[in-house]
Amino acid sequence: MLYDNYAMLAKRELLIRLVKILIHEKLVEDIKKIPVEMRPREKRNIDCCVHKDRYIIKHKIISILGFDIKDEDIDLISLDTYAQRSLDNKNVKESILSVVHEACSACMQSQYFITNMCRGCEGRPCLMNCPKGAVSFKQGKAIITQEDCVSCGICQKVCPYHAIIYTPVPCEEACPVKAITKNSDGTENINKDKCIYCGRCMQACPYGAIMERSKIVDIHKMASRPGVKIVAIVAPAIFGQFDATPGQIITAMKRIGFDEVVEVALGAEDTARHESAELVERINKGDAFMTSSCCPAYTEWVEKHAPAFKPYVSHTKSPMVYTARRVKEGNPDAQVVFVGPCLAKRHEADSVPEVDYVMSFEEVGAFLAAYKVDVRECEESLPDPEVTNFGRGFAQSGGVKEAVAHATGEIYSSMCIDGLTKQNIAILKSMIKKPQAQFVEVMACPGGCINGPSSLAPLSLARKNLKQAL
Amino acid sequence: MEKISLKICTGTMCYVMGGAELRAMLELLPDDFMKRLSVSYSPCMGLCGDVGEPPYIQVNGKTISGVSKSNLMQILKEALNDAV
Repeated sequence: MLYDNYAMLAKRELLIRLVKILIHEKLVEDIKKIPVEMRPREKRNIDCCVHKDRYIIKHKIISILGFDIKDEDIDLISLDTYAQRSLDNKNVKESILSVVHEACSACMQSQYFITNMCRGCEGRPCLMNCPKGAVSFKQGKAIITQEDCVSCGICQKVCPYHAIIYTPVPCEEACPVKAITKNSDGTENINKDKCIYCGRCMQACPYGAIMERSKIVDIHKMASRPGVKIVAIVAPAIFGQFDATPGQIITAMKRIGFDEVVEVALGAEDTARHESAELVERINKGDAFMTSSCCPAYTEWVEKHAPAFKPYVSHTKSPMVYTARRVKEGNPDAQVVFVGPCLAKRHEADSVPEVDYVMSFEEVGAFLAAYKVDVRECEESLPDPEVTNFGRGFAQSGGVKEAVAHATGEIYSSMCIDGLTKQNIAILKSMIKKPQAQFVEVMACPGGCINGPSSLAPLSLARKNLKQAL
Repeated sequence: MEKISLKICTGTMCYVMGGAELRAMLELLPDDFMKRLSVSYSPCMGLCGDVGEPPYIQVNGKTISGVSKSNLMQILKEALNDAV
């Protein structure tokens, strides 16, 4: 799912540059330099001209600073004003995910399209097999009448010259719940009533036009305020991000300003315990099956798209919640920052009073780079001896299932839905009538959290790194 | 035959800006190709300066910037040809 592309690297570069001036207390002073430095005149422009490129960077900066982009405001307010407002805590962006309309290229509506590779052959299988009569011939070449086309793809399959292509809209294609659609001007818009915050559109957009809500300015401010204890609670997937030991990664987190680092794996143990007890109770009560509840994109999907599933979802809280509670019980004044690869956690955290901020792995990467912290060179911190591999195992798909099976003595059948894809959604929905296992773990990201939308390491590397940590 | 020395910077800047992909890619290369390489990983080589063009590698001591999966193979092949 996560693949290398320049839009992704541009986002990371932007984050690194922002964090650099943030930690050197030059945010307001230097922020206007970023678009110019990232898109210098001598570099080949990406869009029509260097001005548009810089303008897009400006929009993305405003989004990272934590503001909703209102298209008209942006030209009236300078970047340094935005920076100052962000420092003054006036950045109260509501949307978790938003489209930077200037960057959105308004991709052509998804369609089948006949290229000039068409030879207008005698066979004309495209014409003969189209069930809607949408194919016709003009000057010896096939054309598709888009109004009649229903995108069945038969013409593409039957063309002996591979002359017919499908042009997708990447974000729409990636969205499993049809939450992102076109405005009248062709740019994309995210429907909040449908979005489950899986973050796939953000990864899929080749223009990096979809940006998540960020709180890096606030987090840095808290971390540098004397007398405030700021605690990072790190998702176990973090151990897949770097080729370093858990102890080194914990030290690295402290180097970027956290007073204390607590593993969410600890709360995962609580989740496994409660979930197991709940499973026993529900099965005894006569329920056919129960699903996990720790993936917030999945629970959001149930809420918005499959209310009939609600009775089957566990009521157990997520590892993030239990971990944050543990921290706040010991230290009610601490500021708790959840650190993870997940976009939906930003939404979940909005309704969890114990979690103050959410920070992504990409943002952590930017802080590490800006502070020049080399994770592999960090000394070892002593990881919490209470944490077991079952807790850390929550980071990849199958981990929750294993932990629950272990806690219940392996007497229940279990399975894992690895990724909320269109196919898996169909399987899930069929389970109300035909359950396939008594415990069902559901992960919205294929591969589990280590393949989350804000990861740093590609999945293959993350799996290897995590294996070393377990 | 002399081996090509490939040093990949694993400093955080390089790692975040695409170095992680280089590591993942090396895993996929065939054994007889890898046999001719001597791969090492280095902590931050201090080349990134402000932001520069990470990720950086060194091939037989020569520093190369802005390395990606697409040009890494080319760089290595050229080095191998030079060595023959």
